Amino acid sequence: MARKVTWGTPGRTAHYLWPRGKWAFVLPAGILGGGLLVLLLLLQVAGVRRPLAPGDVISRHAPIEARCEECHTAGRGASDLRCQRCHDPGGAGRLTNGVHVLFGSGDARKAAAAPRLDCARCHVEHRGRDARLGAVDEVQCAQCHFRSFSSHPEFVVLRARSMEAPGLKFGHDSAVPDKFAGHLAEVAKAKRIRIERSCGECHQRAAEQRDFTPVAFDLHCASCHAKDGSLGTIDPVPQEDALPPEQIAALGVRGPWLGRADEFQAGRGKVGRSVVHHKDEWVLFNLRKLRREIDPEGWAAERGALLARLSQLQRRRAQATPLASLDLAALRARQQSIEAELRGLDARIAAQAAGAAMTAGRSRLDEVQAAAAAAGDASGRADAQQLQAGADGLAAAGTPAAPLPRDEFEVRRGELLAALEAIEAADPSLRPRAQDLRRRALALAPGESGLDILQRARDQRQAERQRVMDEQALRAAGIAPPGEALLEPERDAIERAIDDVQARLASLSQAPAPLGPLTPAELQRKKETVEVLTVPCVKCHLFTGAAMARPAAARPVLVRARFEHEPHLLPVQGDCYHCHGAIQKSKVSADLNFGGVQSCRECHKPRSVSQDCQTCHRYHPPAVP
Amino acid sequence: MRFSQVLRPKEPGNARATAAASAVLVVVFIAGAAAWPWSPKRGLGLFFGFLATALFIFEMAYPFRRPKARPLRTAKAWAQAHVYLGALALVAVLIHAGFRLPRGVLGWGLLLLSLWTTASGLIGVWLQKWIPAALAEGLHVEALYERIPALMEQLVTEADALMAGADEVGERFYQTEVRPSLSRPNPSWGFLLDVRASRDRALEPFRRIAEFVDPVEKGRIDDLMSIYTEKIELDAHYSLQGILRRWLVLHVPTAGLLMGLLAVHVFAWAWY
Repeated sequence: MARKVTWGTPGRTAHYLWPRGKWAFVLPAGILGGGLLVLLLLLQVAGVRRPLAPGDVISRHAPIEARCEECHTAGRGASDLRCQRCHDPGGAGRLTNGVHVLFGSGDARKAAAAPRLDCARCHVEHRGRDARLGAVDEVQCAQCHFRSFSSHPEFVVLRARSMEAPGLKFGHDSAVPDKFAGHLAEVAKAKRIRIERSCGECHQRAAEQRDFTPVAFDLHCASCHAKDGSLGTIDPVPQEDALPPEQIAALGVRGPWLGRADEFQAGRGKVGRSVVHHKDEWVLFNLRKLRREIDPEGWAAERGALLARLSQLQRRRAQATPLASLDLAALRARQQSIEAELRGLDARIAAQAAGAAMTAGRSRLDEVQAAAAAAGDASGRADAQQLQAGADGLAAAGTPAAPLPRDEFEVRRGELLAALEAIEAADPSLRPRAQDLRRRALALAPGESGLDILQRARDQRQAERQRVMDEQALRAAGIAPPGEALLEPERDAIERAIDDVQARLASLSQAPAPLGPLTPAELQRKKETVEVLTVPCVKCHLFTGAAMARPAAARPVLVRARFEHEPHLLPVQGDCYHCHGAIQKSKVSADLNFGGVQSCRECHKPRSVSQDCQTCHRYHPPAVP
Repeated sequence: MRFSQVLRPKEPGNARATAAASAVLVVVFIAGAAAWPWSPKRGLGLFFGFLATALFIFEMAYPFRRPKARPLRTAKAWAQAHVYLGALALVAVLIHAGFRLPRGVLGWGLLLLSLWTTASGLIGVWLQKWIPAALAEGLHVEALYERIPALMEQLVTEADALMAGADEVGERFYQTEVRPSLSRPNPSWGFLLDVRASRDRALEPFRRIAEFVDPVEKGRIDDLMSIYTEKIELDAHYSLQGILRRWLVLHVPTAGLLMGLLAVHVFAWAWY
């Protein structure tokens, strides 16, 4: 009989078969995972931290990669304070979101209300050695701004015509029939080139830069405007108004005119010039002297503004000293000093909040008034009376309902700075206080209350205190100060700005003090002298009385964006009119002569040239705005 | 069983719900990434990290389905949740990372282990649907994996007894060609795709030799072929049930490693 085919289970088992235990795989897996956890944590403790890092840091940060504490605070992630240790070592706060908002809007209240933004929010680390830390996700910008370049508003300078005039009378097409064909045409004729090519004669590309070198008189204008080295002549003017060289030298002011006696014609109580140079020191000295005599308030306001700017820059320079360079004792002293300042600020804020603002302000005004009156001279008494009248008016008017218009605000600020100038002159011991007040006056914004400023100052001090305390904590943890603080370029920019302000202050201060108030006849005569003195200058320069506007020819007009000509020249093949078409009909230097954002969109569009915000914009303001 | 049948979910409702949930998560990611800079450390990115962690922890609780299957009541419900929430956890991981490749060792470890664990789990699901059906449909014999060696020994005993009185040709054929492969399991990956794979070729020598022997011996050879057929089926059982048990080696230890790395990742996030 054939074997029967088995269907189903062949037979019963002799014994019970135990199922696999539920931990049979899980337990070894748990041991494996736990072992890995312990291993990695041990490596962490031993200082081998790379396995735990989410990726390599950029090459500039590679030397500190293994020391997580250089950037991270336990339990709080990457800390801004640790970033600032190298990138803003003085704690100036330049890299904060608030300063970004202030730079963009110029509105201190808006800046104070700006949300805090961690550095690491935009600058994402651990993306590899070659990652660009500065490359920020566009979505981040869109949190506050528009979402795409197609929504980019027109440039502010074009929208509001807010560009400050460059201080020159100049038109690319300032043609005078039968006399002058206009700058473009005249240059083309003189150089025997096509008119389209004449732009390059003045707007020259620098070898090491990506943009044009600034237009300079000696290089670009002198060949026509000072053919024989002279801009013209000055008719004789009274020596009481325009001092001859020897009298200026007697005041201790030296200048190149001392060796050019042949250029002066003196006699009959008058002095004239047969030759006038560009930036003629003699003319400028006498203009400054006349200005101080004709418009002492304007002079004082300008000097006050320069002093305030100087004070601000010097404070910034002091802040640009890395905290890391201080030892523990100095850090503690700094903390105590900041805490004392904080206590003072808190007390003043409490007083203002309690409604004592006006009283406190008035009492300080009284101090100022007393100091001005103590000067003893007529000018001081007049200042004191003016202050009294102002204070009475302030008390009667109460708190203004709306902020002052910008122009009026600037006038008031000028008056305040001039008053401070008078006070400092009357009592030099008040100088530190005057400096502080100047700085604050410069920081004021229209409509901002004293309380706002105090709170802003308190926020700044608190941030400083936090930094000092963090530095001390790091020292206690044995973390040495960073070997390199990225300050030098900033410090250089601040130094350059200080040098510039000091030079302007020095030249302004050369003007001797007026002997007393002018009679109407004297005032008229001096004004006429100014007109004569400025005859060679007014062909090109703009004047307000005896004050010459600072020229800023061919300077960038986009204050919140960066534009470089070099990458834009190739697509248009040197055809400047492609973007600056209106320049052929431009009559004044204030003309902007470019097409605005729409002209940018011709190339900056999807699937073409980059539309990233960072192509043109920088989030962080420059060290010296 | 056809391949498409294996792909058909056992509980279509759960599959649809998982697909819908995944789609919702991806839509949330797209909307979130358009509105805010995507970061695994903040906001929605962090939320997805927490979600993935919670799902992975739930996945590791799978052994607790026995003995009482609480709180999901049935082992089947546990298995369904284990499969679909595991798939959803991978989606959450990818969204947490913003669909970007990681940069560090830890990140790569987490991503690769997540992918491997999820993929091995899904392969396990396919095996558990494919193998039992293939065994039931294609074979006569049914056997528990642990009993197969003993059953093979029984077959050898039966074959020895059968061939005790065989002629010289039959005896030589049995001793040289049949008994060596009859006495031990002979697993093969070929059974995975076809449980009757190479059966005809294996039985061909039996058919050939049956043509050259007398009718009495032919009956004996036919019985031997029947025993050998049963052995081949046991081999198929042994191979496929072995795969069914051993795929867990690929799945569970890597899941353990994943949990270890996950703990380190959470620590690093919280500390730094």
